[in-house]
Amino acid sequence: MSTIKLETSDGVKFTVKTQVAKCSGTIRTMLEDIGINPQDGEAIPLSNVHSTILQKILVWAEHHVDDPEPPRDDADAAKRTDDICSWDEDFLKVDQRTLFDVMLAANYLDMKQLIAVCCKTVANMIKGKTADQIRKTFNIENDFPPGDEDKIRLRNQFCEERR
Amino acid sequence: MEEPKDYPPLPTEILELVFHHLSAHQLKRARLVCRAWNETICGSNSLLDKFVFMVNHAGTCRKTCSDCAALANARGRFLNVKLSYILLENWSLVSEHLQRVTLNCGYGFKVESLLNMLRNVSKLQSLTLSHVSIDDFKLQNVKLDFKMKHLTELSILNGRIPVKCLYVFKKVCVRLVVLNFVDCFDWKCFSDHSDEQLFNLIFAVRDTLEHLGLTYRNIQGDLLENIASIDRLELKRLSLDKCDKLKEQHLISLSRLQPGLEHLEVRSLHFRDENILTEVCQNLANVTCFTLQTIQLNNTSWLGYSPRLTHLELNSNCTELEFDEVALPNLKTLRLKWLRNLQHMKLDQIHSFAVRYPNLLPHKTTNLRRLELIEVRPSFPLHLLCQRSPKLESLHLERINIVDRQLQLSCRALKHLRELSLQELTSVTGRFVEYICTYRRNLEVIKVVWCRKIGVSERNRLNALRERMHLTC
Repeated sequence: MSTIKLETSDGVKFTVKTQVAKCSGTIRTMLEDIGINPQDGEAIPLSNVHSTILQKILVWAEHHVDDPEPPRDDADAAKRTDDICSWDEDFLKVDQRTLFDVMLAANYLDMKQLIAVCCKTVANMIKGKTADQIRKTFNIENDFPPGDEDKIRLRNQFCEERR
Repeated sequence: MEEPKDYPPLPTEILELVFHHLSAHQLKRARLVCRAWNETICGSNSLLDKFVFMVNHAGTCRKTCSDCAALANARGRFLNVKLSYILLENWSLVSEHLQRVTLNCGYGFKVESLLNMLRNVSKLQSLTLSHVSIDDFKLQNVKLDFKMKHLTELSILNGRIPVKCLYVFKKVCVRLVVLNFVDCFDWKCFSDHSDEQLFNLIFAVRDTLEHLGLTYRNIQGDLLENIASIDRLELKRLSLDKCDKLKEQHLISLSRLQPGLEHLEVRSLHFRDENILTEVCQNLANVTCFTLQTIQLNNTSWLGYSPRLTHLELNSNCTELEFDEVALPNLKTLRLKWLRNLQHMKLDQIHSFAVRYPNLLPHKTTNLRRLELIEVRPSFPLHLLCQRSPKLESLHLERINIVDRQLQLSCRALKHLRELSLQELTSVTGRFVEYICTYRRNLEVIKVVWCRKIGVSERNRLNALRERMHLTC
């Protein structure tokens, strides 16, 4: 089985099965379109990803490498957040910083399925909470100038959900 | 769990991806979190598309009124607006980027002001006129010197418009995909040419039209056959209601002429003959959505010819209904009426279920997400059904003599409930409202309509939750 080498931002080199690495759209493009030859033994530099995060992402990719392509036009399925499989749920039981780093790296590596499952996890952390509770959960500072919050509240009154 | 904040916040593009999983109600709360979140939501067209900007105003809108000010403030922000009771003369108030407009309740509308609006919002994709009446006019006085290149959806519902508007739309709308007419024509101006006008409009947009909905009397089966045989017209969806003159035979020829139909809704015609249904189903191999009325049918074997069905609405008196995965593997939505004699009901795979007069408890409802129950006997074990449906998100109860305790017990089992709608529940009192206000503050939508025992003070309490909930009393 063919392998390729990846080098993270902190200079750690990983040897990965090509098939697993191709879960990443970014790496796939590098290999297929730009024509980087993995046989050269030269590592592909991933300057935006730290080794601890890449390690985690590779575990995920290894587990999901044989997943079928998700259906595209299912708008309803895209909105659901209760369809995270239990393996992914356990996989993403990490502290917030790691979760965010995984998301950023998955975005950089263009791994749509992993981004989707992370987004669903974060969406679930937002659901059912008030603005105040959300701020507490994500440790966000309320940076509205005085009065602006009320303006948004007033505007919200004019907004309804589109059916 | 408090964490020291030493890492950067998520960038806008990722936040936007997260927000796509939230409903409009949740997004409203998310807007209040911080500036970055608010700007992400307001800066994303696809997120704004989840909202409708509603202005409800009785009387003529002047420049100075607060609703108009809100409208002007939101200029450029929203893509969808619904304007009720507004005779807006100054259309430059609304954004030229609007994609969907609903005009609700407007009388004495001039066709010129409608055309003025259309000129202003050239990017419009969807126009709905609901309960709008347009004054009679002379065609030669109307300037039709523009085209709505992006308008794909036109719906006119329950208003009173002169039939000659069809000519106006024919000239202006060039790429319609969806066309809906529900009780909207002004009968005083209805003439023998009306059918011709409708036919001409459909003929003009035959290359793009996919959805056609006609709900009004006087539709002749022959007209439908003529429409269905238009060359190059390939309908995907057809809805017919109140077409009293329609016969079963017409449906057969429709199914032959438009074999690509995926969605067929026929409400005014009562099917009596299983052979006809079998033939219709055989002709429509792609049908995914069926709404029908039947009389005295004893079996549903004809449904076996529609394996792609995802949505079925049946008004009939079938005695046995079994949806096993072999016959209808994709069925997700089931709506039933008048099934008084039903003996057996299997709902393993159904996501959305609505029923009137159920006389038995459906079993295996583990995948149910939406439930509507109308006119159920007080003895119906609602709480049992709720316990067996842990994924339920939306519950609608109508005209049921249920008491507070029962309802509370039922709701307690539903951890994922986000929509609760109660209509004409005569025995439900303020104590249930108390329960909602105290324990179910995570509900997103609550509708309470005509529940007489719920007093003013409890309604006020519900109103106080309005920031997060939507309440109709």
